[in-house]
Amino acid sequence: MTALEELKKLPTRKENPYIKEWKGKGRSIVGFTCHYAPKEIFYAADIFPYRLEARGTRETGLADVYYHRFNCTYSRCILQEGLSGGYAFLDGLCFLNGCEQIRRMYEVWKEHVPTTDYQYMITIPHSIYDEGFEWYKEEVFRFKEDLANNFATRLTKGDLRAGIDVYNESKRLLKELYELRKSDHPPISGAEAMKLIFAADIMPREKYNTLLKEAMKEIRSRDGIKDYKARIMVGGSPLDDTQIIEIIENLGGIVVTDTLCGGSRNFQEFVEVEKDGDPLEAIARCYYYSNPCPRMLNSFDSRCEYTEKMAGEANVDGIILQKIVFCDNHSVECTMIADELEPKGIPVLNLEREHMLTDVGRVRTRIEAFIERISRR
Amino acid sequence: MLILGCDVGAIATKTVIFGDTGIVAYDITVNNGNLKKVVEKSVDTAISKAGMLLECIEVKAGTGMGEQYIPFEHTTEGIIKCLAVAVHRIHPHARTIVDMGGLITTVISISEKGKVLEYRTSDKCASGSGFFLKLAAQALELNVEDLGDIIIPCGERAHMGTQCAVFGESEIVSHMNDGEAPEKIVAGINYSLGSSVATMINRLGGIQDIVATGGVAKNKSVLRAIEEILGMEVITLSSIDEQLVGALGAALCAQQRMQQ
Amino acid sequence: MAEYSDRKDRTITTRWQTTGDLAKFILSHDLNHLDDWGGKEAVREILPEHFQKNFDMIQTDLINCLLEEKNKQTAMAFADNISSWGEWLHAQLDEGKKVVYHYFIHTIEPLLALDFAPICFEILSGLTSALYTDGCEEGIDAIEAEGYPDHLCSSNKGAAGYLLKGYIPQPSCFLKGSAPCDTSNRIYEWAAHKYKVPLIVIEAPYYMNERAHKFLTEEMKRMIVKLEKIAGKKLEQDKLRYYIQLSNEAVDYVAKIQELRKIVPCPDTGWHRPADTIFTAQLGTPFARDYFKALYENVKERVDKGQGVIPEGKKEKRLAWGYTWEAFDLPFFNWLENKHGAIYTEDTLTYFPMDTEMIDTTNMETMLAGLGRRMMQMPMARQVMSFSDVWIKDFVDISRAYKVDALAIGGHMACKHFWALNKLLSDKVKEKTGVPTLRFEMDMMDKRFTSPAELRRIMDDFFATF
Repeated sequence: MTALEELKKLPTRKENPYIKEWKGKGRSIVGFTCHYAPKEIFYAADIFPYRLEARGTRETGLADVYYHRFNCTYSRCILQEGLSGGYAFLDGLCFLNGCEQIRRMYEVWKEHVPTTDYQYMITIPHSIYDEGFEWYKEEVFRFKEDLANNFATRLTKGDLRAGIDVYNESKRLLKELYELRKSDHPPISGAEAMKLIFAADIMPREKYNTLLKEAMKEIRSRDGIKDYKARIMVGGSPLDDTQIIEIIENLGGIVVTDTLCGGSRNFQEFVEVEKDGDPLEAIARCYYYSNPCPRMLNSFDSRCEYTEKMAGEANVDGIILQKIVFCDNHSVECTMIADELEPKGIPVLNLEREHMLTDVGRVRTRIEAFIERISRR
Repeated sequence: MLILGCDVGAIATKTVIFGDTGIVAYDITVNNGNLKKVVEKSVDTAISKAGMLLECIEVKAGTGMGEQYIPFEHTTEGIIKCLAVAVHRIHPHARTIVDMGGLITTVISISEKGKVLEYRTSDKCASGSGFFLKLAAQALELNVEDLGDIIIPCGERAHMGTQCAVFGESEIVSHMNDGEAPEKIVAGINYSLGSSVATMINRLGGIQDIVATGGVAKNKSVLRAIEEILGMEVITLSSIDEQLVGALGAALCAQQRMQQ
Repeated sequence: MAEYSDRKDRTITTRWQTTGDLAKFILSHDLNHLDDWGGKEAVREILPEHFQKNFDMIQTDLINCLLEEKNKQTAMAFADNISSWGEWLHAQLDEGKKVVYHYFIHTIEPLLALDFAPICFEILSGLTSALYTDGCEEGIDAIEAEGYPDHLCSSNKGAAGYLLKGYIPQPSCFLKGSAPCDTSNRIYEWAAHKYKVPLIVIEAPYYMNERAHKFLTEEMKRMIVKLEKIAGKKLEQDKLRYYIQLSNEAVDYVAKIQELRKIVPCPDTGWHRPADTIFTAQLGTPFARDYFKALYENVKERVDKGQGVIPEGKKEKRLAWGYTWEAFDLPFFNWLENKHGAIYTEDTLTYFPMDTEMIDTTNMETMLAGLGRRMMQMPMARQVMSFSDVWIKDFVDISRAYKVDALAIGGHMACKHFWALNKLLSDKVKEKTGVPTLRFEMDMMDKRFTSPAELRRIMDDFFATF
């Protein structure tokens, strides 16, 4: 299997070979729920950070005992995995108050998922300003202490710098990948690219970097894709599988970029530590100030600019914003973005969906009509 | 002494005439249009089956969401209590009652003495109810009564992801368009409904014996799905039609009231 | 008699003011039910003409509920409040004062001291929903028509729709505490963007500890700097002290009423409890103080006479509302008393914790620290901005202290954070106190979701199991 194949086919949770391998060496895996988790710190503590996902989860029966139909299916599917033992491999879990639905899972998880020994909550303010940064920085400092205490690791500045280097390297590689996707004839489909991106958060990063570097060679050697009807950018609620992108591409579109929190928003800024600087502060700074999530107040303009910039750079014909039903943050955001960009001549499709995409017919029909509208051919 | 119990539900109106020996006569009439007329018809049918006149029945009790449409004087009984009293009378070991009605599913946890400890009704949504089955049957051009006969292994069920009736209908259509066999879709629907009911039972702790009542309890496939998920047996009452339990409870509650 | 404004951007507030005057007019007559005077139509004919249109809009059940003997006194306080608040607000607007729309979980003393005209955004939906047959549905429909989803909170949607319709004044800024929910945050972000005015955020930290309190105190300072810039003037210590004293007086009455409500039989009526939340958003004004003072006197009078509020011969059932009330049907709580003997102890949206402190008005520093602390204790902010143990503990405490017989948990559809904790809340309270719980879905301000009739059916079923 080539590196590209391996990354594309990397399974999640129980089937994921890296989990067994990592734990086999007596090392710990700690999950995290949200983009604002400082992954470099996990890594510096010799912990493998695993982003919670629920790819392939099709039922929510156990989660619905505690949650409700007014909670989004993304949160319910994640909880379902927790309750049904899908996350039994986690030694710990770091929650964030990213959104209402996930932050409240902290208590349910604590009561009803006994396999997770260690739980932590990092909180982040709802807007971006210097005093808010001080709060988040303190949260990150406290987390670092707690993590080191609980997992009995030494966590020196040197370890942190090493963690930062690994993640910065990933970011550089992913930026390269996105550059390739921008070309008129991208050598990689959106679905393939997305699979490479998902792999980043569910395997050890050093290994990921090695495989991605290798995979890039293969991607570069390919002929570009020419026969597409429309270049599309995807945004909106978190995605953890490629179903929707496959539908877009089966209908003749090609997804060339995104504004997703697991996607492009993840690697825009590098963690830069000055010569005598504090690496921990640099990590916190990078997460706090770059690419705000729609949960952040007073930052719509910067998200809108980012969306426009990404769309422009990848020369897209239209944007598909998919929002999970009952996701407050993204549902308002998607409508606001559409209201801003449509008058500027950028077509936007607002698409409501469940986390487990089962009413494929409806989704397909809406995407098909959108592609017809923006088609180059 | 004869007691009339009438349960005006969302999909059907049920009447029982209860005497010293048990249920003397009963009727189940499907609601269509003017509810007052439906109630009159159901009551008339039951009474004439019993060979009686309305005036000769001393105690009349009503329950259910359409109880206010009962056109004659009667005592009003809460449906939750009615179900608890009736199930406890017939099956004293019952600790959990699952009433799966036309629009609402209710799970009730009761004590050894039949007292209601806690209950939860389904959400304001047709998903976990008979109405959902009715919609599904329509989309598939089948009779709702026949949906329960289809029991197939889980690997062969069509997957229904959502528990929303509207999204659900759209899913059914997607499956049909993909050429999925109707029995697999039906099995998927039954499983989906059973799964949402099992979740409700879990919310109340799922203590045995679990007794199922209401029209949907006639659907064996839904019951099997609930059992499969819970890993527990779900009982139906052999001595009474599943739909009549509420009406019988109303009669029993009225009787208790008199004895107090 | 007051002159009523016919300006379109005062549609809602003038409507309230008129209703307040109209209610005072009706309540001043010896009347216990509209039927005593021949029904609604007959009463309409004898009303002064400028009241008639407003009278047609008001929920008939509400008028009859307010006319009941036990409710009359508090009804008068309620009517007084909306009438005098409306008159005051319009005078502020006439003087050209700037409108600040603020969220309901923080108090407004600094806004008053800086001569703003503060309007609580959520109350626009809540009070309109409570008073009128058509509720705030027009506002809700207006914002949903713009493509915003139906699962957002109706308290924000109604007001946002009124902005779109031009029924309320143009804002000079929005003030938002970042807790408790994403749906409110998003609507404020939308509104500030749409109307191109600043959004001032008071960041509410997640924890209930000294670190959070310190941070909130600093947030108060930062907020004041931003507000001063918009106001074009400095905050004066004496002025702030004046409003905080008013606010302290009101909170003191609230605390006293809460204490008296623990008595069996309960001396307080239930119909006004949603209104209490509304007037909590006015803390700092004389109107809130007067309202809670009148409530206190009403309750105290009953205590002195050893009276309860349920019909004689009924057994009192003591209900706590584990989350919210609904606004669209105030007579519902009166109906619970009359039909089921069920009284209203506490809920999440009016409850001040038993250790609520008065704000120390010694100097600027103590006042700002006090405002920070107050925000941590304000109903809803308190339970929702933190881990769920705060919420659970409150209701375990309430269940014990108020000898609660049942916990009714009406879940507001839009509150995702609540739905994620509903079972934990009900399990823990039951486990610790043995109190049975009822949980159901509703929308606090949109009666199309769970109708008044359905609410009553739910409660009938529940009480039948007692």
